[in-house]
Amino acid sequence: MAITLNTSTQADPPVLPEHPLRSTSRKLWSDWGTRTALIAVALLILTALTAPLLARLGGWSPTAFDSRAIDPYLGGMPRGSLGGISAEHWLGVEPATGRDLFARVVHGAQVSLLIAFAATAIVVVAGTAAGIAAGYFGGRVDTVLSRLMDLTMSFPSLIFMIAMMSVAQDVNRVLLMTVVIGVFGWPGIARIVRGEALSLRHREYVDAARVAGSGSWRILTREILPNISGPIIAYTTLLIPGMISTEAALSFLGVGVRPPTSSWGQMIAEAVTYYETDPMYFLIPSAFLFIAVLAFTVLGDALRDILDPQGGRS
Amino acid sequence: MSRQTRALSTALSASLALALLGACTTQEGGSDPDRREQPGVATGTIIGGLPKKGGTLTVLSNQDFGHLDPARNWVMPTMDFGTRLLYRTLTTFKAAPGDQGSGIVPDLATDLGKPSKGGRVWTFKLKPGLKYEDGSPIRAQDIKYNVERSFAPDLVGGPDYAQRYLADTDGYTGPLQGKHLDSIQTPDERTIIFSLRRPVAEFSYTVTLPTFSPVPQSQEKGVQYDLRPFSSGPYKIKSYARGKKLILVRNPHWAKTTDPVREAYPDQIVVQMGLKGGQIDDRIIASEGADASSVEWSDMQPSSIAKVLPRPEVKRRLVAERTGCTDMLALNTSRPPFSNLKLRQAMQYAVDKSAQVTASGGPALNDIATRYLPPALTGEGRSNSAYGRSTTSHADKAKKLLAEGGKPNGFSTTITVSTGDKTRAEALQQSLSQVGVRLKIQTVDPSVYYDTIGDTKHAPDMAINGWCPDYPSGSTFLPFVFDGRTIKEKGNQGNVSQFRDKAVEKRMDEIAAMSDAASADRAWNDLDIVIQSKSPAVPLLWKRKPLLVGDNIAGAFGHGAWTGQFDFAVIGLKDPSKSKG
Repeated sequence: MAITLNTSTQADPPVLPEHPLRSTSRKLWSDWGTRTALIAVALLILTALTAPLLARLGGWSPTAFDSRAIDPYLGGMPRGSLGGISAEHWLGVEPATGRDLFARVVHGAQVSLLIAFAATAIVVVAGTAAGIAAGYFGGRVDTVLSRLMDLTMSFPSLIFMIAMMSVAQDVNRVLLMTVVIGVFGWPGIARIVRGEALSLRHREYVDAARVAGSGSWRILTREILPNISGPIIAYTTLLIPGMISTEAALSFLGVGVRPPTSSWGQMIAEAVTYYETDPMYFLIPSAFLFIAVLAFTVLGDALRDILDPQGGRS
Repeated sequence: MSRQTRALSTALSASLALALLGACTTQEGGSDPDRREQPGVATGTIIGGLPKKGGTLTVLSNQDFGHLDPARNWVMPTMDFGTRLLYRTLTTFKAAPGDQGSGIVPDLATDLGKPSKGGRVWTFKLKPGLKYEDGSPIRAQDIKYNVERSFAPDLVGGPDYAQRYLADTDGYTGPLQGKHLDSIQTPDERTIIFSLRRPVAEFSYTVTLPTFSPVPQSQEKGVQYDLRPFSSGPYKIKSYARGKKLILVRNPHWAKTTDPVREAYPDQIVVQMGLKGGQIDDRIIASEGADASSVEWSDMQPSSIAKVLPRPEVKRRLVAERTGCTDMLALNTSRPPFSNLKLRQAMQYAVDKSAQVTASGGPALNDIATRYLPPALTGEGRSNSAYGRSTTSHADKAKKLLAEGGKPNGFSTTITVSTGDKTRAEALQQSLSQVGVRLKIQTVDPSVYYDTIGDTKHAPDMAINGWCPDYPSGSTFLPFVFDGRTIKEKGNQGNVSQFRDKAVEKRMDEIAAMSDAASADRAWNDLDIVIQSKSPAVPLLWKRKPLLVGDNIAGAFGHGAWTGQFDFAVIGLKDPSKSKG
């Protein structure tokens, strides 16, 4: 009885197709793994945005030395167990300087995420533009753009980045890292977009638009782009963890942001020599990097499964 | 941390340095008093007792030797390795720890040299029966030949004392074109006479340098001689793969009866190169197998200190002898901002030296420097400093000087450091930011560090630079660091501040001409204070050299003459049979 009643009430109103944004967020929220990732990403972004406030809450600036928190007679080891974790220094201190790890790690989140998001934006905009143009126009445009993608992809990018960073010494490091990482990242997404655009350009609705007298610009932005936005969004989310890792790798190799600015990669690079005597110094930035990369990867995977089901399986 | 410091030093007055160590500031956190003593064994102790003959001694190193060619060897601990194992010099430092090591004894010569004409002419007699590794005799002409080689433009990098001291050397370009010097006479195979351009009271010390060791003309190979120096010492080179491995075996023609210092305990010495600093520390701390018979070549990493000091069985294997060098923050006086005297003086107060101590391994390994001349050269009661002995910064005094210099709100400036000194640069950045000076840090690889700061046109505003005296005399320190006439456009060494001051240069010449060593010593000390008032550099630290030895090592101590490196003349093994790992 009750069952029959329920079914009938659900069937009663006319079923309208759910808005794609709402359906996507509902699907994301329904899985507990993705939900955790979503919360972690939100927290990290919030941390990065409020880094100065959080650091003030902790009571330490990321560059202030605290000579009382370290033992100079033991080569500057933090006083106390677990790398000097205490009410004063929530995540302990950096050996030899006594700088507060909590303040440095939240400021590091700012640098890492800023570079990752900015570089991703460059990659997505440049990659989509190049891919859509190559796929839709075809012919000579396609040939030129495709060869350019091949060239960029085959270029030894990491070596070039290291060389670039050591040559350009007086440039703003954050800007330079963003541009350098961005310049080498676009061909991946451009290839995907090109493939999608190729398959769409002779669909009936595109032909119809063309016959109705629409210009190329209108067709690209109104007909093609909305139909490939799903894969682009999914791919973008998957790009971010790669960008975070690249920033960390460059900082690890000593060509990252200029001291005393902190970034996760730089902190990990400095902590390597202390892995035995002060493991917490190594663990804390590593944990943040791990959580950030994992959360963005899980989120990106889930988004791809929802928005681009075929792409995920190919 | 592979900073190479030119030349060496000697611990003349150890007591003063110890007094200064005791004068370090107490941290507010309160350290317990018994840890304020120096790390490792006390100065003057020999680790492991008396060695036994035989076995293989392994030296673990993160780098290759710069030059083993005696005419080119002027990088600090490499001079120790060369003169103690491969070539003998006219005189040499005693094989003794602490203060006694600064004394010299005749080596190839029969005595410490006979001066005549008021110290302008020095005569040395060679011992009879001295032989090279092939059994041929060592002749006085061979020593003359090597001194002449140090003039050759191809054979760069060696000590330039022969150029500075010998008479009539203008335009001389070495013996490779068949020209020889008249200012060195060898009337017979066992007599050598040096004629100097001015009296040099301490010439007996000068001839401890590798320039004054024998190289037979028949063995001349030009720049290739670097790979295979012909041995006059207790060991000869069996094989040498640059950057990888050097193996020394006994020289059967070296006779202990002619040699007052070298004991040559091990049968074989192997130098493993190109290892990572932290790994070397870990291997020697563990002391497993052949590593128990190993010593380390380069300084222990500051991050390893916490693995050593709390463990008594490892701590007693740590040597931390004074290097005798002064570590300075050179201010580039050739252009703004530091062409302005007031801004330079402000830096003396703005730099927090205790933060430098912590960043370099803590008070256990460093003393705060209050002047340019290291304690070994200043003597008791003469350690005056123009800026007081404060260990932390004086922001108010610094700000006053900045205002007088026309920069009340501070300024932007640059520093270049090698990657290992990044923490030190950050400590500087932090202390300078207190007075509004914004410091931009540029880190470069250690291998190109000296080329970078030695390029006078593109040099940074600040650089961390050290200098060690070659032997206990102010004449081996101040003229190398603050004489404006020694500045070279590229590859500039020593005077990194590019400090040019006519009055100081004139005074240096006057002191160099003094024949009385004691009054010259006083004059160098007074000149130190004069230069401090002109502030071309901020004295930062007097460092110790921390080195670990394996469990099976005996007879090890840091020798003051070679920046605290082990004395390779007397180091050996407790149990040679264990060294076959």
